Amino acid sequence: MIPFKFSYVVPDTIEEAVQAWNSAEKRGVNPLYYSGGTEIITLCRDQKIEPGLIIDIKKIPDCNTLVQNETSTFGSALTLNKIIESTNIPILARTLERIADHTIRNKLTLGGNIIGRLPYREAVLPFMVLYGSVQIASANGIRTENISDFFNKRMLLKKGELLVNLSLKNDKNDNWFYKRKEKSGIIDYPILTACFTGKPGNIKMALSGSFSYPIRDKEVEIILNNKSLDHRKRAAAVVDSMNNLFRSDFRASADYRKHLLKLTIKDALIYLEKKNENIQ
Amino acid sequence: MKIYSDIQKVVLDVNNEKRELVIEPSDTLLRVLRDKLELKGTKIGCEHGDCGVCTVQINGKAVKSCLSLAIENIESKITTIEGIDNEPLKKSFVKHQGFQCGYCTSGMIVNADSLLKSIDKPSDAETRVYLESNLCRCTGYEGIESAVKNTVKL
Amino acid sequence: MKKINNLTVIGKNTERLDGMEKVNGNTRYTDDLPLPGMLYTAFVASPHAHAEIISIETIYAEKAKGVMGVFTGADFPYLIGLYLGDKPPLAREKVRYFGEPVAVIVAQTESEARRAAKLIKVSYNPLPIIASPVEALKDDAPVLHENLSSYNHIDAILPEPGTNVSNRTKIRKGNIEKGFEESDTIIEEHFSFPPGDHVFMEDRIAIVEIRSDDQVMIRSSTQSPFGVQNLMSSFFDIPNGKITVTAPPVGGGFGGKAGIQLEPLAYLLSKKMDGRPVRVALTREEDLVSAPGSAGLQARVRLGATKEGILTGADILLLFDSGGYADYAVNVSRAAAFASSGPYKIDNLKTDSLSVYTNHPYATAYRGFGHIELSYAIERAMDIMAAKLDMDPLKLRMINAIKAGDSTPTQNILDKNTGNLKGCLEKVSERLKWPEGNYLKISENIVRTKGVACFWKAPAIPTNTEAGAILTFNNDGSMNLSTGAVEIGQGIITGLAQITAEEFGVSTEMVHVVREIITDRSPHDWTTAASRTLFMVGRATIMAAVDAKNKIKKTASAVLLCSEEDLEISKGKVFIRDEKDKYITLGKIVNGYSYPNGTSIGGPIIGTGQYISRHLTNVDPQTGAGRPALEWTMGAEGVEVEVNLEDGSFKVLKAACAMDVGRVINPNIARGQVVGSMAMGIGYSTTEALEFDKNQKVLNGTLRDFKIQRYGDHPEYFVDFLTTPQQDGPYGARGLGEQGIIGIPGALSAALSKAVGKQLNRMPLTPEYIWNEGGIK
Repeated sequence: MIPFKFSYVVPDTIEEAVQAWNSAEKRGVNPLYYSGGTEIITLCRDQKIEPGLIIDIKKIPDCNTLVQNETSTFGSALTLNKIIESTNIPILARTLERIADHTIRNKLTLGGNIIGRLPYREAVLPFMVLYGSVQIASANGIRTENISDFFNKRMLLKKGELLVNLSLKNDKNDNWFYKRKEKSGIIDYPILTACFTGKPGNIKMALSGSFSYPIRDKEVEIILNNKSLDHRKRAAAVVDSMNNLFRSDFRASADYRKHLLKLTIKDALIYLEKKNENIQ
Repeated sequence: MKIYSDIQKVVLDVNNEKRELVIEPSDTLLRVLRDKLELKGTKIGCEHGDCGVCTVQINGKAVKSCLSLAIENIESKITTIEGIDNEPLKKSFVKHQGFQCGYCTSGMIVNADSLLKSIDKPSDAETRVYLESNLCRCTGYEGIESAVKNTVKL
Repeated sequence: MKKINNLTVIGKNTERLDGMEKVNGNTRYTDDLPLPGMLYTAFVASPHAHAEIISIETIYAEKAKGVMGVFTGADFPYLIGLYLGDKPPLAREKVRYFGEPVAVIVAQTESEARRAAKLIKVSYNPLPIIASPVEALKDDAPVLHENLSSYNHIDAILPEPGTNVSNRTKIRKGNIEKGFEESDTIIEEHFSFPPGDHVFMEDRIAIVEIRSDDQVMIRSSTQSPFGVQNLMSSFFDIPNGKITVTAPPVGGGFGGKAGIQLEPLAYLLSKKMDGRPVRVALTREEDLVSAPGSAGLQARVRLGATKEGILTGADILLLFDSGGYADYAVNVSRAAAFASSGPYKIDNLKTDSLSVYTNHPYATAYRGFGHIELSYAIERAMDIMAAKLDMDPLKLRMINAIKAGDSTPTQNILDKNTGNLKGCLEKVSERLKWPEGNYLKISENIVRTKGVACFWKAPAIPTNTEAGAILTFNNDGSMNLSTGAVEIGQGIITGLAQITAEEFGVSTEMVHVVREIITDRSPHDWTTAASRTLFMVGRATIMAAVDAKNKIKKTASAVLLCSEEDLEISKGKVFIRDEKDKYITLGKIVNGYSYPNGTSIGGPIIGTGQYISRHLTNVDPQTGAGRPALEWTMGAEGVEVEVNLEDGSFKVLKAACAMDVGRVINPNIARGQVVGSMAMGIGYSTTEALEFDKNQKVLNGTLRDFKIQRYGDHPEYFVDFLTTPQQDGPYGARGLGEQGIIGIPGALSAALSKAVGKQLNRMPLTPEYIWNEGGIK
């Protein structure tokens, strides 16, 4: 239950949504964009946040886009299950289908997972490794940003900006590798989520769970693709290069997270090499 | 743009009945179902999305009603345990020990029903994906697995 | 009792009486029946594990919309506890665990109560913290209960003022020095695990109102309606009869709803509200942390055996982490002492079992009642001994399995009602294919291993544990059974219906079991717990059935003009045994019989039955000698696991349990209890642990972070029942609700230790722990 009151609006367009946000902000009403709402309701229940206005974006057509071509675009208001059922991009489906549980995924949205408060933001990982971009709406209009420029620990949205949709480039020739580890059971936050795409020498890697935020680091990828080291040494080198970033909490120690990442990188490199050989 | 600033009179479609009621926009669907519509079959277990005892169907899809606002479901078909007409599933739960204390049972059956309506003959893996959304403390899940599988067989 | 060989209902898979109701969502649990004018509450809890309360500012909360009252510990100068009165309903002067309630708001709606709770400001002065029983026992440890010497307590509990020991139970059997002298091999090891929680699906709740004639009306999710009545009476000096407790069906109890929980506070609040009904309901987070869970353990076992594997002596220290308050832990630790040898013949036994105060959330009764703790310790010790003797761990258990004629830790000789433990071990061995080996390398990183353990438990009950049953009849010949047994999911109402139906030779459709227990009309019953309900209430039910039948026969003999001995009752009729055509339909006689001319005789038949635990005695405080145990249900368990040594992750593939229960009343229900308790055991051993930071603040106090088993985690379960009769049990049956959990920690620890080649002596058994101890690095 939510022990306080707020108002609730359902805009039909992006413009209406942004306008509602700005006018509420001016009046000191404390607005929040809302799609799945699973996180917002939880935070309201605990009285950790107190929005005065909920702006439900689920009816906005642009936020419900689902187009799959060489570039695929997914609206921020799409539920994870909707994307999983519809997508032909395996790494996207595999990443999304391990988030929360099936019933929650009927409500939890792509945007909600990426720009909510929880630090894992696993849904962004496939976009990070597939040349992802985001469409943002603000009072100044709509623009597109590359994820590589627009994500640093979190999506660099300013207050009042609305995440409309995310796009990625779907190269069917590219291989992929996905791994997720939890403390004990699979319905839990991750202590490692790893998405890899690409061919040996040009492998891209995006990680969550190991740290307090998702990371894709091009410098680290140089080490990852350093063929002069064998798989184990490369994995160790990658982990060493990120040594201070590993998170330690009651789910797992930093040491264990490092160990899991080493194993995963080794497995990913072996797998992607094999897959590449099979194609050739 | 639809605006609901304050306490509202709304109509909710619940178990094929159009119910007129007065709600706040901040009321969760779970509390509205239990307290305003007096449909007590849907339970409170954690109000945090973790246990599943509050599961209802929105347009046939399982949803945790503790994490849904009543106001966002004005145009939906809401089905609670009281509106599940899947007699073979319920009988199977009784026959195959799919419950003990019964507190998780409403949510479990609502979710299992949504599984059987979405997938004709669900595999073990598909059944697991759906049902791992609902906790049960009494049965150890063996009876629930039997109950669902034996319904599929029919 | 009916002849045992022609049973028509006992032993059958009768469908649960409450089945249709539950699958249709129609069961009315406590929160489903609000009372008119009901008020709601919200708590403020301590963010410190140990601190002085300097001030509580309530003024803004008092002024908030809808608020009827704000209360703190200062308002309720009571010390409450079932065995030791050490706990105020709200913290007074200091807090002793993270999450301890310090204030409560009463308001018109739950929203208003929760809003107002945020307006309360508490200031604390943190105090030094005790993080474990071992720390609590150090000479320089802070004393958490300075006034321990002034607390009321029952005679059987022996607190040690000036220390953090709320009870110490001693077993001194035989001669321990001699025992170790006779040994060829001695092992000694330490074991531990942290506190956990019951995680029933229905959070705790109590609704109390006080009628205008001062009758206190309590409705609560409780396993113990009469226990609540008794305790409320003694805490608040109210005559028992002025307290009415209603126990609706419960959404899971597992011991956490035995004894007394929210009822005293709800009563005090209703009293402040002029008797208006007050609903005290916990959020899940409050239920996990503020309300009690399971105890943690630190244990040390020293075990001696001959080189042939015969145990000669055991010296056991069990330290129960009872948290900030003693609650049930004083008795849980006591019960553990009485069974501390495990189901093994150990003639020289020295046990010290202590319940110790720490700054952790406190513990209450939990499925197994101390037996998981003692079992974990002794079973790990057995495995370590087996390894040292280079002996098959199953064989070591076979050699020492306790049997009729052997003595228990409290020096009772086990009688012919004793279960066949060896038979149980053989069954588990068969199910897990133990003779094929308990270690198999599947690949470079993957191994499959097995582990076994034995368990036993007698109900841990007072010497005067009682039960009753009342049978009344309807004009269709069906009957109503009223007992004090609460349906908490264990299927008791179905079991009792089967017993009644068997007595009358009818189907259970003719038996209506009362679903809500109300203390002013249900027969008195100790508590629905301890795996004694089927046994005792079953006995009372049989007696009530026999009594009713005798009364029917008395009236029928006048009508049929024969001797009572010539009559039988079956299939809805009372008839002359050898002239079956001379009968009366029960419906025509159970509420009075009318002759054709109208003259009537007899009257409503009311059958009554009763049972009290037989020949139980108190125990000697120095040696533990005495007879606290009514009947022992014992058995064996085993698991097969597959472990990935690369990261320590594992899957439980199989879990087997074989238990000697005397007789199975309902095979499906019995299996369900055992499987459910095994699942709980797997969770207990692997994920269900409270995590603390260095200040003993709970880090995982939500259901998102405190994990129990989910669908798909379940292994293949094997359940077998052996049936050495319990001669004084109903139809020869023994209790079985708890036992399935007890051996799992030992069995799982054994299997995982085997996998990594190192003894794992701590729980929870997480992949990280396993990998650290012996994984591939």
